[in-house]
Amino acid sequence: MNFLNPSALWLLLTVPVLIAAYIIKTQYEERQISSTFIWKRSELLIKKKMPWQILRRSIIFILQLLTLVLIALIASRPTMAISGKGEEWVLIVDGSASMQTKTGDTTRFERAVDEAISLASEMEYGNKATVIYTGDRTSYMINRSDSSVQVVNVLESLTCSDFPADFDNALALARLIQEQNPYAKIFYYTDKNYTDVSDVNVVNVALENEWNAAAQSLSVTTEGDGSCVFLSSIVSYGTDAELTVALYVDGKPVDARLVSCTANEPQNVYWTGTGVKSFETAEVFIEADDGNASDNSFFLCVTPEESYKVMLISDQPVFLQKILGAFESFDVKTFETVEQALGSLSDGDTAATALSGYDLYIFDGECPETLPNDGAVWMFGVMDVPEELGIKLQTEGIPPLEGDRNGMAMVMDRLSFSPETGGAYYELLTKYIDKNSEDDTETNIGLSYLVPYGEYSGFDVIFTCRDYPAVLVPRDFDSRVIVFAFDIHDSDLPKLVDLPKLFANMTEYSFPVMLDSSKFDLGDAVTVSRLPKAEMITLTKPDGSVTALTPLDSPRAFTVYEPGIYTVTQEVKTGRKTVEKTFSFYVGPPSGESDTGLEGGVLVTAADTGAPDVGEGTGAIEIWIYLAVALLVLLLAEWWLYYREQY
Amino acid sequence: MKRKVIDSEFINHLEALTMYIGRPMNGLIGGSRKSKSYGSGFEFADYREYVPGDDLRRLDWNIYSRFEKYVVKQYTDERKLSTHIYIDCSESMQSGRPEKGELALRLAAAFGYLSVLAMDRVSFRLMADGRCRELCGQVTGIDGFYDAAALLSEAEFGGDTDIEAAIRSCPDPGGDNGVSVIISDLFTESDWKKAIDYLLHRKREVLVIQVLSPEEYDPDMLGKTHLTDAEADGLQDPRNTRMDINRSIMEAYKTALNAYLEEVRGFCASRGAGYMCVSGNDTIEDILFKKGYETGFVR
Repeated sequence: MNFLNPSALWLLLTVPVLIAAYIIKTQYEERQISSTFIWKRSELLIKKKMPWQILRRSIIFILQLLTLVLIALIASRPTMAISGKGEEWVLIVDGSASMQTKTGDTTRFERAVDEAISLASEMEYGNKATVIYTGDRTSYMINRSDSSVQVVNVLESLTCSDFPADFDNALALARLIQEQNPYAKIFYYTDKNYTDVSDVNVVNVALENEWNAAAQSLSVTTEGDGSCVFLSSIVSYGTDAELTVALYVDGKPVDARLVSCTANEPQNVYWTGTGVKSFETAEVFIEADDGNASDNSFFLCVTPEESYKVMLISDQPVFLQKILGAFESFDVKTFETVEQALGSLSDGDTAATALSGYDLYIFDGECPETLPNDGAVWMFGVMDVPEELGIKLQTEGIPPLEGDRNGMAMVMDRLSFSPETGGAYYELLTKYIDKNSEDDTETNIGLSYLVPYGEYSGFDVIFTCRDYPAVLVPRDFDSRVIVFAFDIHDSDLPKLVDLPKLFANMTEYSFPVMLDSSKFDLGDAVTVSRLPKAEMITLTKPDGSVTALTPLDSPRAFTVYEPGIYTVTQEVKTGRKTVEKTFSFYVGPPSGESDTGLEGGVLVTAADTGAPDVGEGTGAIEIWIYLAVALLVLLLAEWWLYYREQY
Repeated sequence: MKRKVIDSEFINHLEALTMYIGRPMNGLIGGSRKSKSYGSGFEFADYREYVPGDDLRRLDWNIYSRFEKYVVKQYTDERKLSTHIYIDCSESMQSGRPEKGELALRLAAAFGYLSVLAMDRVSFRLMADGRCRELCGQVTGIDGFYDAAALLSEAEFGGDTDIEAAIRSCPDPGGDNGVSVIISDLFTESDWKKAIDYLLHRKREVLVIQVLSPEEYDPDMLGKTHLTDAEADGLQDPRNTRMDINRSIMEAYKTALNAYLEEVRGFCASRGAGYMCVSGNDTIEDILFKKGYETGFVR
């Protein structure tokens, strides 16, 4: 006999308490009567005809002792091993992607569920069953149920996933059941043969001669003429096969060919001369009636290079033009003055009063009174900063000026890193900028003069120079402005390798991307970054459903549970217009699940000590109900002996 | 302790009754009882052969005409009888509500009065501790009875009950001349049967009156009880007993009680002795008019 709640056996301590109570309680009522003559005769009568009456008190005492013992036993939930009865089963169902392999009309998963249902249907009184599903999640589906109907219903409700199985987690859940009933048997319905199965009964529902073709990867490079070359990898598991493989670009068929595959050996397929210069999505597709169609496709998502229209206003644009020219995505138009730039926007009759229509505005020394609101802004050495930014020149309480030039302070020092005041974008903007070898708080960028900004609330300071703010960015997420307090000509940036690094950081800051990857695996957590001035973010899943990702002011993370192409769309307000920006990414099926081979390797790791060997064919039933019936009988007997005899 | 044994109402009831002796007895001359010696009474008793000297008026000429034999008639002779009333005055009789002892004394007075009414002699004998004590000698006549009743009311109870020893210790147990009435609860280990046999052997008419209290018929007890006998000599006396009284025990008690009463009744019936079992709840009228009638000792 085992006890599921052995701590309750402490209740047996009430037994000596009862014994002590009986010893102490010996009070007799004194009563004088005329004669005990008849009472003595009645004693003889009792001895002769009802001898058990003499033992009545002892019998009641024994019954009360047994009652206490039974209560303690019932509370301790004893179980008894009975051959063929009270069996308990833990049914682990493998819901991994490989279980979708279909032969004829049934998939492996359907056969697994049928096998489990077959066992569950044999449940008799006293049997219990637990169903654990492992697929896109690993959890109890029903826990220690004694209802065959309920267990079958749960099994019938299971669906196969596109995920790999997590048997270790499932086994841990099963072991928890065995802690409550050491006799519980574990069954694992899967599609592999395993070694080192410990006490797990593996039921392999895979059939011989099942095969499956899978597209494992797709990548792209460019040829000399700029056209794309696609490389895909395909494999046929279980058999040699002649496979028809097709390439689609942006949904349109480009090429198809017959590929000979040797069983279980990946085969590379090159697609050259496609004539494709750019694309958003490409797909390699295997046309085959194989075991699992979900892995017959593989996608490639590419986010088209964005090009940005840049307005550069500078009377000495050489350095800036040079560095901007290194960025292929920048299409730069240069103007000497703001007036000139405005003039370029005027359309004959109507004079433009504000700058617009560009993705990036670079103001070198001169800045309009009102900043454009449809693009990012970089300004260098601007004295008259637009009021809307709230930046004002220093007038008092500043380090003593060592000479000045038209209001600019002479600093003759290097730019210093300012992590304390750098804010959210410090890491991004200072990425890869070299530290000075003598003082790692300083850069190698020297300055001669800078504009002494005094008030700049609402801005984070990325770099300083002799306590002056040198590079500032606003804390407002939607405002992508970088203010340089110095003219680039007053620094040695142009000759430093830090210049392109800094401009790359500035570009990344000004034009953030939604996602950092276009390829994810099932189960990955995907985080979408909000674009500046984005008012709505939606996610379109492979099944076509669209969900809004809210709230907008916090990172939007979600886990991908199905393979296919996902598209994130952000509605960005630029000026008076709202523009939709999209980003697509691909979630591929787990590659290991395509293999229909029957060999599964080691199932139970050495760390799992397994359940104790309790022999075959035994099950445990809880016997508290029988003890409770016995307790009821005892209580009735005690009542009859004590109360009925008294009254 | 003085007890009220008789009152005027008590006497009024008794005057309607007569104590009846069913069989012929020898007794002193002058009473109102039939005697088994032949005498000058008016009731025909028997025939005998004529012997010279007999009164010729007693010759039965019918017999002569039929059988030509000379026989004379004989008539009963009425005599005075002697009633002995034995009262158990042990400690056990001093219990019950109403007290058994008081009932016993009233019954003794009742039978004593009936005796003096019938011009018999009566003696009251108090039994205690195995001895018998005459209350006041032989009583005759109503005046003597009242004196004896006054003494009866002052009778004390105490000591053990040994009826056999007490009756055997009497110097004058009587003979073929009256009734011996034994009034006791008979809750004793002593052999009261021998006492009755002894009296019967002495040719006495015996009447046994067993007196019980209502509590003895239906004890009101439950649970763990230490029963102390009224005549016990201390707590260690073996007559004391401890019992855990429940319904079954109570039923066993009643069964044992009924069995004992039946034993007494059966013994008395087998010996031709009269028997009455009375309770403190019974009135004197019920006892004498009903139960007494049933015994045949009262008419």
